[in-house]
Amino acid sequence: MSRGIRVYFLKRVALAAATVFCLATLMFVLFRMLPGDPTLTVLSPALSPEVQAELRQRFGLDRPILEQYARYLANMLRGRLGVSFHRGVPVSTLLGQYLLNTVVLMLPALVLAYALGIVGGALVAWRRGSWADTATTTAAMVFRSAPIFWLSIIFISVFAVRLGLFPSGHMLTPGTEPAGFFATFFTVDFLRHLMLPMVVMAIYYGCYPLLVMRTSMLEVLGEDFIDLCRAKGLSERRVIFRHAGRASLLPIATSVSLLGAYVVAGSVLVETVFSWPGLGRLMVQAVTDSDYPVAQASFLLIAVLVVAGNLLADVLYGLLDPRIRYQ
Amino acid sequence: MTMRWRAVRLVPFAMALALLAGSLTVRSGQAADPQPIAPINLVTWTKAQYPVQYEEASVLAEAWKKLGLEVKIEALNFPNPLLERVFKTREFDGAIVYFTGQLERLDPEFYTYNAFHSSRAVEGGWNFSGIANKDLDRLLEAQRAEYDPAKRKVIVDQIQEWIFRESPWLVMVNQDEVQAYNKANFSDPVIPKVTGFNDPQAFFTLKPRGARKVIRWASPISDLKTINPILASESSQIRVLYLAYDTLVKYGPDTTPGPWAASEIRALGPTVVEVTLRNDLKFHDGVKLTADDVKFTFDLLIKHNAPYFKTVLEPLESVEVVSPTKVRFKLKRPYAPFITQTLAMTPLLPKHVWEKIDKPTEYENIPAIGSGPFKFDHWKKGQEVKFSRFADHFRPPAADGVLLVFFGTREGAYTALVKQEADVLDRMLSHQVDELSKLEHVQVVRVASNAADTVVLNARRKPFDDPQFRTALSYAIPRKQILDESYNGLGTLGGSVIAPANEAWSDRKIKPLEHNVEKAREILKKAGYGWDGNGRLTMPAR
Amino acid sequence: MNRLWRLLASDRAALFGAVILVGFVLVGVLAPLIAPYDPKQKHYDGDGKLVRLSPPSRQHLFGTTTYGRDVFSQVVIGTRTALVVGVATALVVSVVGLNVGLLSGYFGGALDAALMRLTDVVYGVPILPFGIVALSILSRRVWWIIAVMSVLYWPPTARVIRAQVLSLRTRPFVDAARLSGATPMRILYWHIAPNVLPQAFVHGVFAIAWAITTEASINFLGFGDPDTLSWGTVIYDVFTSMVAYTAWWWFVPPGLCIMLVVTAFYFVGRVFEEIANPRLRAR
Repeated sequence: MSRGIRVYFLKRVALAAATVFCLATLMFVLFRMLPGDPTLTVLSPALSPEVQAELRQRFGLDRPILEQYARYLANMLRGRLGVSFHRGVPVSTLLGQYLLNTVVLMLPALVLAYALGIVGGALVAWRRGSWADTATTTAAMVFRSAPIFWLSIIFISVFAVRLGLFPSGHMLTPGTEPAGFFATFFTVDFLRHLMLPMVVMAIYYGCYPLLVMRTSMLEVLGEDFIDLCRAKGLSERRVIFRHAGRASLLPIATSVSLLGAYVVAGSVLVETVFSWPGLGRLMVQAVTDSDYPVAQASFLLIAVLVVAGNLLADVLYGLLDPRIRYQ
Repeated sequence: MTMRWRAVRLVPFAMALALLAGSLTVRSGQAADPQPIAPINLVTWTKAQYPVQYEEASVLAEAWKKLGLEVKIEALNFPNPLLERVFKTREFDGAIVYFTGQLERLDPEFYTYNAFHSSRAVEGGWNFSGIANKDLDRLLEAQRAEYDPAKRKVIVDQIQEWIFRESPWLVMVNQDEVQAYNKANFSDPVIPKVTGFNDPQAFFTLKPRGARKVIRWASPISDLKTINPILASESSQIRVLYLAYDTLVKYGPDTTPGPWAASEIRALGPTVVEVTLRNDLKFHDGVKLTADDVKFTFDLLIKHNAPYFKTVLEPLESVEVVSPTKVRFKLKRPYAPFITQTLAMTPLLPKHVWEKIDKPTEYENIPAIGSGPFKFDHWKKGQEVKFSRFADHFRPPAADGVLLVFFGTREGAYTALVKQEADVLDRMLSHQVDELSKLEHVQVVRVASNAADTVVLNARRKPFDDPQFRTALSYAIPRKQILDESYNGLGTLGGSVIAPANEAWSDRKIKPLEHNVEKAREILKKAGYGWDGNGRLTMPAR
Repeated sequence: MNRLWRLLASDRAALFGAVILVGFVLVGVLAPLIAPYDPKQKHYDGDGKLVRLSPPSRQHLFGTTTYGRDVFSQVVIGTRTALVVGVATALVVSVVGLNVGLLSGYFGGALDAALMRLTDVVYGVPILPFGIVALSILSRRVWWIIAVMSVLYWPPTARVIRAQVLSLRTRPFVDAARLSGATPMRILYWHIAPNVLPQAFVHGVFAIAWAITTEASINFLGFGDPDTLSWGTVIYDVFTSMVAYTAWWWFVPPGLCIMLVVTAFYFVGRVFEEIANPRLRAR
C-alpha cells in the first residue's frame, strides 16, 4: 500500500472518529437542556433504588459537570450505556438485539438497490432514447420523489392487504419458536416478511444509482476507447457491460456514501411502517417514550453505522480512484 | 446645528404630552374593569397515542368558549411528561384523565379514598385536584374500615354525592369496552363484565374450534417493558402476568370476588385475615405452592416497593405462616379493600426461584415461573410473548396457549385481526367497530365498563377552587356529543365517579348533568361572575 | 433569461415541472380561498352524525377523516406549510453553504481546513434520527424544524461552491481586482460570489425538494408541530388512525402532492443546473 493511500485512509478514520466524538458530545449537551433535574437523563423513578444508586455512582451524577462528561465518554467506550427506563435492562443488551434485525434488512436492500441500479442504468444507457429508456428514467425520477413511508403504505395496501401475497408487517410470523441465527434468518417465513420492505427500499434507493449509472455510462460511451473496442470487433454487449460498465462504476462508488446516510434515515421510516423490530424503530420508540438512555444510545449507534458506512465507501473510492493512489 | 436646537425645544413639549396621555390611561384604568379569567391550561394526551382524548380536549375548548373562557390545550406524551405533570408537579388547570376499565378499580377504594383523601394530595398521589376537606376525609376513612358491604355502600353513596355536588372531577363519559375476537377459530369465551378481554379469564375459557389451538392476542405496543412484577408499573404488563400467575382472590365473570388460589378466606377480626390455600397449587416447574411462597411474595413486593402494588400493600403489617396451607395477614388498621383489592391483585411468586436472585429489581424474570393456567414459554423481544397451557393447573384453560404478538402500531394489530393473523383485539377505535362487524369471522364484544374519560380540575388554583365555577363547567360539557364522536355512542354519559357498570357500588340516584349552557351561565352569574366587553368571563369582584 | 425559456420549452419534463410548481404556488398563496372548509371543522350529516371516513364525493373531493374533517381542505392548507418550510430551509441552507464555500475556497489555509473538517463532520450526521432527538428535546414548533434541517443540510452546497471558488480564484479577473486594490472581502463578495450564485441557486432549488420530504418524514414519525397542518401530518393521521389500508382517499393525495412537487423541483432544477454549469451534457 503506497504512502498516499495510507495517509488518505488515516485521515478518513480520524474524521470518522471525530464525527462520532462530536455527536456524543452534542448528545450530552442536548440532553442537559431538558427542563428539570439533569439526572433525569440517566435515572428514572421507574428504576429501583439499587439500580439508581449504582447508576448515580457510575455516571458520577453528583460530581462536577466536566467529570460527568469524562465519565460519560469513558462509559460509552466501554459499552456501558446505562439502563433503559422502561424495560429495566441494560441498554447495550437491547441495542445488540435490534441492530442485527436492522442490518439483516438493510444489507439485502442496499445490495438489491445497487444491483438494480447498476444493471438497470447500464441497460437504459445502451438503449438510449428508446421508449424503455424514457419510461424507466421517468419512473426512477418519480419514485425517488415520493416519500418512502408513503410508498411503503401503498405497497402494503396493494400486495399485502388486497392481494394477500405477503404479510403486512413484522419480521417473522408470530408463534415461530425462538431459534439461533440460521434457524431464524434462513427460513421461508423470514424471507416472506423480508420481501416487501426490501423491495420497497430497493426500488426507492435504486433510483439514484440507476440515474447516476446511466449518466456515467453515457459519458463513457462517448469516449474514444469505446470506439476502439467497437473497431476491434467486440460485440455490443461486451462493449457495454465489460468495458463501458467497469469504467462507469467510479461515480457509483461515490454515491454509496451518500446513500448510506439516506438508507439509515429511511430505515427509521420503513421499520415504523412495517413494524420491523429494528434499531430505527427502537430509537423512535425510545424518543417518544422519553426513555433517554435508549434514545441516546440508539441514536449514537445509528450515527456510528452511518459514519462507518461512509468510511467504507471512502475506502472503496480510495482503492478505485487512481488519482487518490498517487497523491 | 439649528436642527438640533429645534429638536431640543420639542422635548419638554413631548414630555408634557406623554404625562397627559399617561394620566388619561391611568384614569381609565382606575375605572376598574374586572379582569377576565386567564386562559385555562388544559392538559391532554397526544394525537398520536390517544387521538380520542386529544379530540375531546378541543371539544371542551369549544364548549367552554361559550361561557366566555379561553382554553389553551397542551398535549403531552404518555407516560412522560404527562404523568409527571399530572401526578407530580400538578401544573395544570384542568387535565383529561383516561381511566381504563379494570377489575381492581371496582372496589370503591380507588375512586374514593385514593382519589379524594387529603393524604393523597401529595406528589404521586391520585388526588389530582388537591381536595382537602375534613368532613369528606372522615367519610373516606369510614368506608375503608367498614367490612359490612351494606353499611359500606351507604357511606360510599354519601361520598359520591359529595363529589358530584362539588365537582372536582367532571366525568364526561363511561365508555364501553369494545373488543373483538375471531369466532371462526375460537368460541365460547366467558366474557367477564366490566373488563372483557382485559381480564385473563376470557383467555382461560376461549375454546379452539379448528386447527389453530393457540390464541393469538394482537397488541398495538411494540414490546412489553418488563414481566417482572416488581418493576411492572402499567396495567398492560400486569394483564399479561395474570395469565401465568395466580392470585388468592379473583373476580368472577359477574364481578363478584371469590377465592381462586385460596380455598377459604376468613376475617378473624378487623385487622386479621386468614387465608387457606388450595392444596393442589403447583408452580410451572412442578414445585408445590405453599404458604411460604405467599409470605415470601408479600414480603418481597413490600421490601422492593413494587410500584404497582405499593398503595394496596401499604396497610399490610405482617404475614404469618400458620401451616403449609394457611397464612395469616395482620393489617395496620381495618381495611376493607384488603380482600377485594390487595388479595385480588397480588401475583403469587415462587420462593424457591426468587430467593436465589441477587438483585430482584434487575432480574428479567425469564422464564417467568408462576402457578397460573398458562405457563411462560418464551419472549422474543419486540415480537411476541408465548404462554402454553399448564395442564396441572386446578382450572386448566381450554386453549393450548396464548401468543401475545406486538404489532408496534394499532394499525398493525387491527389489520392482523382482519387478515386472521390474530384472534383477539382488545383495543380499537370506534370507527373500526363498524368495519369489523361486517367481517364474517369477527365477533365484536361490547362490555359496559368502569372506564372513564374525566376532566380533573386543579382546586388549588383560582377560580377552580370555587365549586360553583366547577359545576358551571360541568353543565357546559356536551357529553352526548363527546360520546358519539369519541366512541360512536358506545357507552354511557358520565355522572358519578363510580361508574354505573359497577353495579355493586354505583349510586343509582346520581344522574349525569344535562348539557345546558344557559344554566351554566346562570350559575356563574349567581356566583358573582360577569362578562366583559369582549364576552370574556371575569372573576367575581372580591 | 432567454436561454432559460429556450431550455424550459425544449425540455418537456422541465416544462411539466414548471407548470406543476406554478400550480402549487398558486394553491399555496390562495389556500384560504381555495379550501372549501376549515380543515379542523367536523362535518355532520342530516341526522347529526359525524360524516366519518366517507370516500370522495361532491361535497368532499378527497373524502373525510375519522372525525369528519374534509381532506381536500387539509391538503390545500398543507400546501402552504410545505412551501414555506421548503423555501425557508432552502434559503438558510443556501446562505450558509454559499458563505462557507466562499470563505473556505478563497482564503484557503487554516480557515479552509477548519471549515472543511466542520463540513465533513456535519455531513456525517444522519439527519432524520438527529432531527427527531433534537426536536423532542428542544421544541417541535415549525421554526425549530426548519432550523434543525438547515443546520444539517448545508455541507453539499458548501463543497460544490468551494470547488467552484477554487477554480475561479486563479482566473485573470480576480488578479485584476486584486491589483486594483480591492480588499479580499470585496473580491469575494463583489467579484467571485456572483459567479457562483447560479450554482448556489441550483442547490437551493434541490434543497427545497429535500426539505419538503424531510419535513414530511419528521411529521410522519409524530414529531411535527401539532398546531401546523402539513402533508406529512395528514399521512401521520391516517396511519395512526389505523385506516391507511382502507381509506385510500385520505392518504393518497398528500403523498401524491409531495411526489409531484418534488419531481417538479427536480425537473426544473435540472434545467437551472444546465445553465449554471454549461459543461453538463444534454441528457
